[in-house]
Amino acid sequence: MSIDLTGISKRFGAFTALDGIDLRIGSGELIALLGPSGSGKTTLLRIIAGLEWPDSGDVKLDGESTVEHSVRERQIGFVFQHYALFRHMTVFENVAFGLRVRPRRERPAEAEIVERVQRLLDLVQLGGLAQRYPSQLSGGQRQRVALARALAIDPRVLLLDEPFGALDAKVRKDLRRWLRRLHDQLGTTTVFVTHDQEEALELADRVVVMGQGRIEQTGSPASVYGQPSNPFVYKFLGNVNEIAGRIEGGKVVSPAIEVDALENEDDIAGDVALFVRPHDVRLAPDPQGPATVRFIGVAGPFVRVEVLFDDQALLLEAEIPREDFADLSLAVGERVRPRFRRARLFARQPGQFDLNPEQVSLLSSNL
Amino acid sequence: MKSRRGREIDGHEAMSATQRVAGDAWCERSQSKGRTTLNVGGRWTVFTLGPLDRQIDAMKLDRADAIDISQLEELDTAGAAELVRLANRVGNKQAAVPIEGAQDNHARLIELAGKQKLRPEKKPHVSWIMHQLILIGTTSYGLLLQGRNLLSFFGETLAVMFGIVRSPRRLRSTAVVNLMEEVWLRALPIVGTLVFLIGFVLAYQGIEQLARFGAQAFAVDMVGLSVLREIGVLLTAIIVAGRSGSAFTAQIGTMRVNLEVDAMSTMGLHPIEVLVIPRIIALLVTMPLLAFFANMMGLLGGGLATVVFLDFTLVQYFERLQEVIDINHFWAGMIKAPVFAFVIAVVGCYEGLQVTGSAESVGRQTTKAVVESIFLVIILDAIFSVFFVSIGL
Repeated sequence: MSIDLTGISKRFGAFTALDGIDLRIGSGELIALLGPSGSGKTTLLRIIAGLEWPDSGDVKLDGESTVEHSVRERQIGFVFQHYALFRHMTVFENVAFGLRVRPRRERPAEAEIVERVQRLLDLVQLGGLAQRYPSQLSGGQRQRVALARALAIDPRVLLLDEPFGALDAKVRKDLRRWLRRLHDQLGTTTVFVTHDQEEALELADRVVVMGQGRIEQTGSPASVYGQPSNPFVYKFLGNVNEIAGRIEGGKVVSPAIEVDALENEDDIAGDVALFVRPHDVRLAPDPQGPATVRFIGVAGPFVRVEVLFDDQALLLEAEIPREDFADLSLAVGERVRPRFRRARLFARQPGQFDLNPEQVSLLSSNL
Repeated sequence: MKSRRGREIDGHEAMSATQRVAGDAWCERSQSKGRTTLNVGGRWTVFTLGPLDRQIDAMKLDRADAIDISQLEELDTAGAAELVRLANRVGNKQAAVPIEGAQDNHARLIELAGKQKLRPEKKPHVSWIMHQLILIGTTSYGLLLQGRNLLSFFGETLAVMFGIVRSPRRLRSTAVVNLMEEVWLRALPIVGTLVFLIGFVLAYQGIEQLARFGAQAFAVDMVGLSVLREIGVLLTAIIVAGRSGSAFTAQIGTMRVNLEVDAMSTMGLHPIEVLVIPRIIALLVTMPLLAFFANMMGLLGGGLATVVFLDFTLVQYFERLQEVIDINHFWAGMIKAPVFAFVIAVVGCYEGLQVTGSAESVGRQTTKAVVESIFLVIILDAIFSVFFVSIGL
């Protein structure tokens, strides 16, 4: 089922949760709504589900406005972050609930319900646990029960609100892949909300990045990550070094750092904000280099190195693969010459490079 | 850090002798041509501000025309904030005094500090009487709003109930029976015991007091009237509000916290139909039964007292009851039971649905539900009493 959202706005008192959202979700798509907390992504999901009403705008399911449709007619499966299982019912009854409460003429026969629930439980790999109560299950199992319960009513749309938010990293990763396979198998239109960029980029066909009640960018994971359309998206999709730079003739003239590839040199010139991912920063030991190493953190697959430029105004973060780091043999206090493999240019925002706290503390200790 | 701390202490001692130690913050007043200037210098940083503050206080500054910071050696955000505060303090009400002679980087820091609000906004001063009036006003407005919301919820449940009356299959009968056991069967012992004791006490007190006029036998009239008309049903309502009304709020409230209510909605179920109606019906049916049981226990309690203290036999007691107590008194009490049941159930469910977010909210709403339903029950009881008397029931 396709979903059309036009001009959706929603306010809670003085707080604007959603501000004119337009979005079209195609049938069978797997979409991620990605954004920081407070960006309105959960509110949007609840509006699609009919749990919340927009102040203005329209939600169309398969081209039909939902205003005339009750929640039941929408046929939506909703999975909550904290599962929201019925605690006084067994796993089996939880999954069967959506079918049992239907009016008699729409209700499947008891034998059919039993068969269908068992099939769903097998699908979520919980076939043997039908008679357990939710409190006897682990978090990952509960979330799969919640999914089975949502799927039981043959939803035309599956909505998931931070489905893996309450699970530990390992289980989260497994469930993520499993959900992707499940979606490929069933082909249900699916929308899920997350604040985890890794999850969104890995799982979704299309990522919708939201910030402060607006859609900042929509696109495939590769395009959103590779060509962020604005600084917000760039910053939200990973760590970033923000540098005040000057571009003349397609070259960076300030700061004096070599850049291998400027991603959008044609678009902008003059005073710009230069955005560089830490893993695109290369460091070479150089006694005449403009910066010194201030911190080295060796946890994880990457070594994190902070370098401070001599004029104190610029602190750079670099992530270097372990093997490369071993070759460099850097130490705190050593002079280095940084180089960027690639950088992206954005227009400077007013006040962007005014004193930030980091620089203020540097200033005061060196005056 | 250590050496700086050391200097700070030195600095403090030096200052009390009004001498300057290089590297520490200082502040002096100078006057020329009727213009007062505060000369400021040294290191104005977070490490030196403590003694500096005391020094400035000791100067008893009132007015100055400018602050000269050309001799300032070091400044951090705390120092800049202190400078801005000083400039505000020695200025007049309209404007702070100018800060002169700043180096470029100092000026930027001071500008930054000047943009921040350094003190929480003061609440406007309100006199005590005004404060009380405001309190009364906001509370009454809150009560009005609450009343309106409750009324609209009453309406909504009634509408859903009529829908169910039209197609009774939608009623979840298993849940109703289950709830009946909870609110009726399990409540029998406590309701019975309490009303029995109250009946006993009433009769005993009546006998004691009426004996002074030699009218002990009228204690039976008193017990019969008060138990049947008021005590039986009122006490039942209060116990049910505390026992079942609060349980309704807590049950529905936890389901809300757990988002189970939302989960039901997405499955196409109306929360009022699934959660509220069965509770209302269960209480509506069982509360009259409970009230009847309470009445009988109350009368029995009174009977026991007359047997013990008045040398009546139980047969005499009931004969006397039959003589003096009209059946109307019984109905006047019983008719209130379903009304109270409805109020308690609706308030309990309403407050449960108002729960948002946390477990703390469940507790708060439960308290609210009990207080509100007991309050409403007693108000309604008063209205009923007046009404019944005026129609001669």
